[in-house]
Amino acid sequence: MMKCVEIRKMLSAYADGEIKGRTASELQAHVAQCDLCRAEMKTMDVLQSKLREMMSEPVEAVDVSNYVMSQLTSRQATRISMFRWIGVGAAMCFVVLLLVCLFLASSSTERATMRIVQNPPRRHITKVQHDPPPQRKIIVTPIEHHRCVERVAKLHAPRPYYHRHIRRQHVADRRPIQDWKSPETMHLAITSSATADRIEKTISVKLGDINLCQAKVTQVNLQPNEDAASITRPELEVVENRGAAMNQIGG
Amino acid sequence: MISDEQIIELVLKKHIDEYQELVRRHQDSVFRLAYRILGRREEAEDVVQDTFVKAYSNLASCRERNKFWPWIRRIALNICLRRAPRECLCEAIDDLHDAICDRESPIEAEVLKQVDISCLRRAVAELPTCYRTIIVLRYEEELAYKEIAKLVGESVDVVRIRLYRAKKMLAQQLAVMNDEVC
Repeated sequence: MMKCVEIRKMLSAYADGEIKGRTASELQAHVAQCDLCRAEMKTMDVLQSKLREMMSEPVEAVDVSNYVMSQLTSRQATRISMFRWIGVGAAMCFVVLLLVCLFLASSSTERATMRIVQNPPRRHITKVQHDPPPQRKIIVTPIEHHRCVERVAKLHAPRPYYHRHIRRQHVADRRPIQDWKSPETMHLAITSSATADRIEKTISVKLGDINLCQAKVTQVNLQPNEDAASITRPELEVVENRGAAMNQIGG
Repeated sequence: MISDEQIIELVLKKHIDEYQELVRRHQDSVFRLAYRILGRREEAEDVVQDTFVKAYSNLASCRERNKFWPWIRRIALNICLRRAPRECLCEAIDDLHDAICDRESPIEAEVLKQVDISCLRRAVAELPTCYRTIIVLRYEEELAYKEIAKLVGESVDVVRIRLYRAKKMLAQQLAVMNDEVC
């Protein structure tokens, strides 16, 4: 059974035809018995009819169609001009971008050409520079031959003695041997002969058949009863044959 | 006579001038709705203009083109509610009037019968916007509670209670007016 408060809250909806079925019949039964709810229902009915009356009153007509259309047309025009300006702006940007790209591309090509000419990487030489590579000049001084022999002699001399007995023989003529076209022909020849008490090694630096320089190392084997200090030092001879080499290469 | 749906199709095919016919057909309805909710003629005219401009921009999104009026009514209502003064939150108004409405004894129907329509108009204008909107949608647009609930984004029960409270407030207001002026 619904209370008056609940019934009254539904009276407005009932008057509007929104309450139907069992609830509507319950409401009707209650209103038939309750004076206050019946009075409220009458109030709602009157109010409803008054509201309908009020809403049915004519409202003065209005015509905004011309204004709306003019507004739409101007918006359309604004939009078209906006798109046009966007198009012009985009075209200008494109042109500027193109010019910048062209400028950068030309300057970078210039720089690259300069770099290749100054310090050309092998990969690009054939592309950029068609001249044959310059002939390499090999400069070898006689002192270098001598040092080479010294180094080899040190390697082949017995350890306790070699550092004392290899003497440097400086060559007075230090003119470079120029245009030495085949440095590969310079090679090292080592011959050795051994007896019971000593080993002799001959180390030669050769250019073809010509001896450029030569070192001779003699190693004396110590006997079990001999003192290292008492024996003769091993001998090292460095022989130079530079003149023949100079004759061969025209120096 | 060409239907709303056909006009919309034409407008969407860039026949912009055809839109004027749509405006002419529905401008009075939009104006009446806006005028009932806002109560001021100038403001209602602004709402009509804004509504049709906005409708034109969103015309492609109107799915049910044979129901142009419900679609544009929703746009108009949203614009009205955005323009209407916000007294306070509807929930707070509901709470405030809940206790008052329940305690009040019913206004006699005979008193209300004597009330002039102009007094009723004033009383409706003094209602909070959320109540007035529902009254207008119910008695001007003759919408069912369910449709009103969908339009204002509330439940049917909320619509039912608000309509009841709005009527109670109107009845009390009219009783006072009847004593004083009418």
